[in-house]
Amino acid sequence: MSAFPITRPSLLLRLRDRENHGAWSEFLEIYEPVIYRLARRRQLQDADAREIVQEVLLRVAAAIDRFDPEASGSFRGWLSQTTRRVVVDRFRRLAATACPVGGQSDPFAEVADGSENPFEVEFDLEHRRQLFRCAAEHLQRELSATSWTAFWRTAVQGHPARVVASQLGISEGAVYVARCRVLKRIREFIELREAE
Amino acid sequence: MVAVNRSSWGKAYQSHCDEDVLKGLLDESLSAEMQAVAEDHLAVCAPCRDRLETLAAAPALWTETRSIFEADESTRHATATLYAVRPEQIPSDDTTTSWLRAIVQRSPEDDSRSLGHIDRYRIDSVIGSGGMGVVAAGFDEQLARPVAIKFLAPHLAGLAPARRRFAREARAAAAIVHPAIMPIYSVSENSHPPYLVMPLVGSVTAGRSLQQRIDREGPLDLEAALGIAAQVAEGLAAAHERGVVHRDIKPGNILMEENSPRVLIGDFGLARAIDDATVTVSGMVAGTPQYMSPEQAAGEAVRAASDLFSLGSVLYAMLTGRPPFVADSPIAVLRKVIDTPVQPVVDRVESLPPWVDRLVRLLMVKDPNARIVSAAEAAQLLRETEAHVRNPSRYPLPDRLGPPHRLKTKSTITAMIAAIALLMVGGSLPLLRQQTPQGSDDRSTPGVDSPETLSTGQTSSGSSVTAIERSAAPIETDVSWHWDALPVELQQIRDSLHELERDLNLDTVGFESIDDRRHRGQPASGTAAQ
Repeated sequence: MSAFPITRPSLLLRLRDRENHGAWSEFLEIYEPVIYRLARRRQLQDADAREIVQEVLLRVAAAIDRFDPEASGSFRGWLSQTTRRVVVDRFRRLAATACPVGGQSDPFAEVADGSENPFEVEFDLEHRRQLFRCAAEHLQRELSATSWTAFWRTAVQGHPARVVASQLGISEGAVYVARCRVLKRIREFIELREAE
Repeated sequence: MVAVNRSSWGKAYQSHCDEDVLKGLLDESLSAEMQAVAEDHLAVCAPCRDRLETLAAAPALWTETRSIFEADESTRHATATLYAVRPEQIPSDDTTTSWLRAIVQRSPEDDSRSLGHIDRYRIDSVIGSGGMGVVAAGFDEQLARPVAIKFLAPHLAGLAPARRRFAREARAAAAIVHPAIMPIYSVSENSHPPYLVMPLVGSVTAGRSLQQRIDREGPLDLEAALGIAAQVAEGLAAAHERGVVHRDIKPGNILMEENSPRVLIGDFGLARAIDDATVTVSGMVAGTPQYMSPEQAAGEAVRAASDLFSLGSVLYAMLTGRPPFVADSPIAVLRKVIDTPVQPVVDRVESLPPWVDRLVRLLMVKDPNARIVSAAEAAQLLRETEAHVRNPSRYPLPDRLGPPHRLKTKSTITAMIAAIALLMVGGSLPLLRQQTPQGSDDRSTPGVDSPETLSTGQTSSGSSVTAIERSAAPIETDVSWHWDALPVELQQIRDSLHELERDLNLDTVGFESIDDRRHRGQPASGTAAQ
């Protein structure tokens, strides 16, 4: 077992079909922001970060057929390594144009790795955060505004249920039910996507 | 259904909630009454609240959720609390603009307001995005006119089949020339990525779509709603004539010209391509299925009649300010679209005349074969009603929307008698169902409308239906037989049976034979795998 969740093959298999827009938008919705944020966190400018996103996505598109869904190691691991390689390349190129350096072993790899966590761990953390954000975005669209607000104000902002109930004009019990329904939906969303 | 009856609930209320009740609360499967009782109990019972929370998710997930959202709230996701803002209007991320920036060429003379240029178009801002690509507002510098440019997403743009499909559908859309259909100015198939150019409709301030207008103004007045619906029906008639089905008629796809009653149906043809994205492999519906037809929701084949159901739903939304089927999850919406009778518009907006409900029902019949026959017919009917609303003395209400002669009160008892008579005389409902498609096909030929032709053409079902008509309405004076009203009547009977079923709390298995069997094939896993 890998230290990270093994990627379930279904999304991978679906991504092989280039016309499966559902799979691709599902993929992009999660991973585009993840790659972008990781790049930005390494002090890369917006334009550079975007190009990194493009580069990584192109590599995904090119490699998706060759990627063996049955092979050990997760697709996410591969993706995080690819992202890291592209980031390192970018540093190298930036350095080459800014001030040519030579002889060094590979200072750029060190820059690419964060100070606290290895790249792959950070990638996974960011991926997890993005899952929550996507869940929030999807569920806000799907659930009634009242349910979502009841959840947000009590479970995230920590307001008392009684207060939120009177703000929303519903019963206190309904606030408890709404926030639990929302969290259950968040859990289900994350479980489903995490599995891929 | 949760296996707790009301008498045992009394006991549970005294002590603690049954686990089934808690699960029912989370799954939204309790009756309204039961839910209210359970909510009252939760308000005073901390242990049950804890159990409910743990059932929803482990404590660790509550903590994690809070810490992630809290951190986000302090930065970008502050918007999430502004729940009054529609989520679609919250800029999803700058990633949408990001790839657009990567595509366009920036030259020194571009000012800061524009993102750059593609060919002869200046790209100003992103106005929409979806699974297929992004729509940007721009300006055609050669012809000096504002344009909307739809780009195929770059990950698809590199792929030959996707490009071919994009081009094919752009051409199909461009081929339908009609005042109510968004024209296509040009298609650039060979650029990277391919894009198509359309007029830019509406404005940031006035809004661009019917959805935005409903959001802003609430229900439209009857005449305006009928006028818009008629235009959409006319556009659909033109498209259907060329064999193009839209598949995604919804207020968001109906664009409004500024200071003009004119509307344009957008996303023609492309809707077909995007359709793959609506139902994912897991069976989860990604989009909002509120305007879907039942056959679409059930994963069955989509046809011209499906657009007409969606048109009915749009009309419903215009009149009431909200979509006909609302639930807390897309799956629940789908279920309602498939088997819940729509609440009469007049129940929601009491000022509407009763015939409006009959009009909506002609479009929103669950069985596609029983729906109004064609978009052209719907357009004509809508135009007639629009004229009637404007000048009732000069333009009488179309006959088929007059008060029904039978089941006028639509009481459950009458419906039951009718249903029983139907079962007795006609054999069974499923038999009749099989007959209706034939009937509706017949109707599409002009002149076959008359009851004579029908009764000779279809001996058994024709006579059986007539028998019911008589048995249910013995004092009927009007001898001419309103065949057109029949689908609506049948639907009403089916709806009444559904209501009855719910009232009597019958086990669904018992009633399955009547209407549910057909809808078994709900979007199952793997439907959109290819």
